[in-house]
Amino acid sequence: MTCDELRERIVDPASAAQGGHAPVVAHLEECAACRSAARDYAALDRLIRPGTPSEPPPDLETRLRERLTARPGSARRSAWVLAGAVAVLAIAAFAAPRLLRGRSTPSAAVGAIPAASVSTGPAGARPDAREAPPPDIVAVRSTPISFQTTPLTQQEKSEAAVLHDFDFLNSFQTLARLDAFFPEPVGPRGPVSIPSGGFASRPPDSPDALAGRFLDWQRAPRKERERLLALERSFRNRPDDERAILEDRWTIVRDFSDDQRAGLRRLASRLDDLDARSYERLEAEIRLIGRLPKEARVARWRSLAFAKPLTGQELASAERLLVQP
Amino acid sequence: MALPRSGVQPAPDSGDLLLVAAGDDAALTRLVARWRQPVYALFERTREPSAAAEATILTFERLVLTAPRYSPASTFSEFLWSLVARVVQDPRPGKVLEIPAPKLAESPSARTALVRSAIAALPGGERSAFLLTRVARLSVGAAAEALGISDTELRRRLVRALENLRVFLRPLLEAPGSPPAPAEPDAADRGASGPGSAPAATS
Repeated sequence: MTCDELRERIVDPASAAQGGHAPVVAHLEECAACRSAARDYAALDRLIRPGTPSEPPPDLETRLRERLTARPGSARRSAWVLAGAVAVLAIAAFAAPRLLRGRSTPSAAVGAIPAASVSTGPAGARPDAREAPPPDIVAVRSTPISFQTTPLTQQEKSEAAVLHDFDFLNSFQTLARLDAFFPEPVGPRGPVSIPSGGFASRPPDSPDALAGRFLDWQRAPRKERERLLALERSFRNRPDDERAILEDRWTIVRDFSDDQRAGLRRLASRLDDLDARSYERLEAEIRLIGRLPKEARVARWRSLAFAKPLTGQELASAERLLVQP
Repeated sequence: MALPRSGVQPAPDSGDLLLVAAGDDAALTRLVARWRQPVYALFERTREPSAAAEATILTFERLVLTAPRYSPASTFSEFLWSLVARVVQDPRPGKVLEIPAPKLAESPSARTALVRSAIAALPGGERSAFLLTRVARLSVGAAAEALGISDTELRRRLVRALENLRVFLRPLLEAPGSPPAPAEPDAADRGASGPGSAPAATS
């Protein structure tokens, strides 16, 4: 048995048993190199095996469905757009008169999450015919598509109505870790003026936005709802000025692509890995870059030692931040 | 004793994939719930959590798009892992990170980063052979089917992968004591909620 043959056998326990173990043992007794290889293979197995199972992010299915829905020409997109249009019309018809009578302001929405802060109809009222959910199955090009059809309860509507923009909720923790890339750090300093119409991340405050929110909430699995509610609580537990800073930052990154947002998350992880001194140095360097003309910023940024090992995705995300006005 | 499978009733995963091909969203939810963890765990060994999540989503997206081409003659597992293998093989080999020994000794995240970069530095064929057998724990035969190669070729790739990793990960293999456990997944990249239940792969 050659060394190559031995190694091909020991990497596959099933084949190692074929023909008996005697030749394998005999070879290992004679060959120090293969003994060393066998030890290393076993060590590598231990090395790559996680101590605890890695769990995917809880919003994975939601993101998958968004991706599938966004595909141009997909049957799912057509079906969901069709169902969405029907449901938006139904909910808007129901909700619009009430909202127009008593519309809440964005600032009024900030505070503890109320159990029923938005009135969407009398408690215990029978579901209006206009709230009727879309049919269980619709056919688009003969392809049946099913929908979640359980109507939202009053409490569920109340929960959904006061949540900030879901993309914002999924991002604000990352934004809080990217102080180095924004002019004002999250903290006691840094007053941010709130735009007259409120920040883009504010909870829905128009009939259309509310109808869309209810649709999103209807589709969201229980775990996803719980996750978003937890994020909302976490956000509201921050001081007022921090919340304003984070919502202000969101106005800068809300148009980023999914890829660029992923780059921001990875960038934040890189910053987390820096020790305090390296972080301070980097922050100072980025502040200096921010004072350069836009056309000079990218070149200077790429010359930093921190930027050298970054992936293309991380670089692109950072550079988009650095050339913001 | 395991019950024999009906010759008519397809295995749950295969049946659900056929339903996905017919546009059944509930079937997609079931498949994702059962397989999201093993697929993510595989990508998470070679990419950072956010990139691993992206790769997982891409895999399931391709699963939905190619579901109409699925033939129940092959197993669902083979079909899924072949899609995973394509995503695994996509990136060109990267560079192995150079991390000073003291940093490796003190930082679990540095060790994880080194292991990830080492696996990512393998050629695509070796990377997929290694991940399917060592992380997804497929048998050599099942991994070879997913990759469309012979068992012998898979073993060769596996040996080459392990030999490369011996070189790339020498600093960890030579560390005193047993190889350090990899770092836990980056919680910061995984949202606010805790881990879900482990999936039960059914075919």
